Amino acid sequence: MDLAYLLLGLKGTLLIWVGSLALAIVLGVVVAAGRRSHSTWVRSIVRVWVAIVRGIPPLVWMLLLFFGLGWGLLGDSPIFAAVVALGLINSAYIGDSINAGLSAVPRGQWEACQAMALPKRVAYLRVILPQAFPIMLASSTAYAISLLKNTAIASIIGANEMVFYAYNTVQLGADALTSFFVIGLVYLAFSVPIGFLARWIEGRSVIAQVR
Amino acid sequence: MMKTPNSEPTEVLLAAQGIRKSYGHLEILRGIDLNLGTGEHVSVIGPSGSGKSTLIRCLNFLEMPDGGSIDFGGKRIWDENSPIKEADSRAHRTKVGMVFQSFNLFATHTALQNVSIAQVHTLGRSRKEADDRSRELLDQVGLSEHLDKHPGQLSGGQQQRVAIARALAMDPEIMLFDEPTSAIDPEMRVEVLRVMKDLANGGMTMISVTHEFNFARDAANRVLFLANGCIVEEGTPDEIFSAPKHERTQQFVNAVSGIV
Repeated sequence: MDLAYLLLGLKGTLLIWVGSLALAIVLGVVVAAGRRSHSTWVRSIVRVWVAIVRGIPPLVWMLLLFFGLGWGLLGDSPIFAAVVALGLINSAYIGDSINAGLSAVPRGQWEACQAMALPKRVAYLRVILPQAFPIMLASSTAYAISLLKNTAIASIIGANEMVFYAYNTVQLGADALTSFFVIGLVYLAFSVPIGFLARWIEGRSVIAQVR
Repeated sequence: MMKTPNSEPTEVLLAAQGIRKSYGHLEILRGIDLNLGTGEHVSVIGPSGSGKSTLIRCLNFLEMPDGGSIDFGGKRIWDENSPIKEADSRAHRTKVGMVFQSFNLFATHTALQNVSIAQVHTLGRSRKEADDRSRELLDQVGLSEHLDKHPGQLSGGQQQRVAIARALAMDPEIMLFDEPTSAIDPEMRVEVLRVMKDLANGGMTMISVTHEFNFARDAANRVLFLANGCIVEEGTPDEIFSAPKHERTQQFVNAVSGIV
């Protein structure tokens, strides 16, 4: 079996993963801002959006975007379609973990900022986010790991990622168990260290220490 | 050292009239009048849920009152018909120092940084100027040894003294204390009370919500007894603690003093 061949697939996997994670974070900030909006309208729209995004399986999202809703843009590139599908879905999860991180900062911290008339920007950047960030990161990392695993689904729409390549090598006569075992190890090589990193960051957070 | 109650008539710094506040159907404040002269120290006492904290939180708009009016420095800054603008409430807050029951020091900042942050970002002082002032204030509250410690490394009493220094760093015209010693071990309260008493004796205009009767007796010019969102009785510390007119006041004072 050709390992180099599998590594070609790894490139596709990482492309989908990093691309969709970046999209999810950008949209996640929008979702979190919407969740915390003063406007009931905005909050309702975000709530519906999150329900829709979460309620449809990732595979169905990918098929929808690739074959149906791509408007000619996404239909040409399975990788791009996978990035958009997984990015949209995970924006809901990442958005909620950003929101949860902000909510975990005690109310008194906000009140002290207000009482001292700190500009909002300063309050966020210097007081609130440094406390919220470790909490956001810990839960976001869990989603990032599940996102990595979900990139495998993109093989079904023909994205050139690891499962797709491994499946092809098997079709060409490679040993199925070995091929899939090897890519299984590659997934682990990414997800396990990231999981450890997340727990380490969470352990260092001020709020976690207080509790 | 006792302050002479109602000594000379001073200029009125703060005049709150008819302050009302409800949460849903629950009326917390039912029309409170509170006037405070420059240099005066009023202690507010009363049972839990009587609205003491809500009252002083209304005075810097951490809670928005539903009704009444607030004058500060001779100027109407808020009334029920003219909601305050964000910029105006921020401007007002720079003149009002607030000390919270749970300290609310910024958890990721050292003691020094806690005292400096608003000087730099709200008042626009230079970092050096702010840090110098912070060191001076932290020294004044007896914490010059702890400048670089984070709140988690300080006792409750120490944290509260940092919080007082942080509020003083803004050079406020008035200080609000919201049960500043309630979350501190009894033994550790004395240092905080001493700092507050020094402030009061030094002429700082103060409102303190407190259950520390000895402190109020020593350091306050006037005491308000609040129950059920109304001022039941108002007078000098002697009048309230030694000869209260209302039965409700008598009851409360006895209970808190441990008289059975």
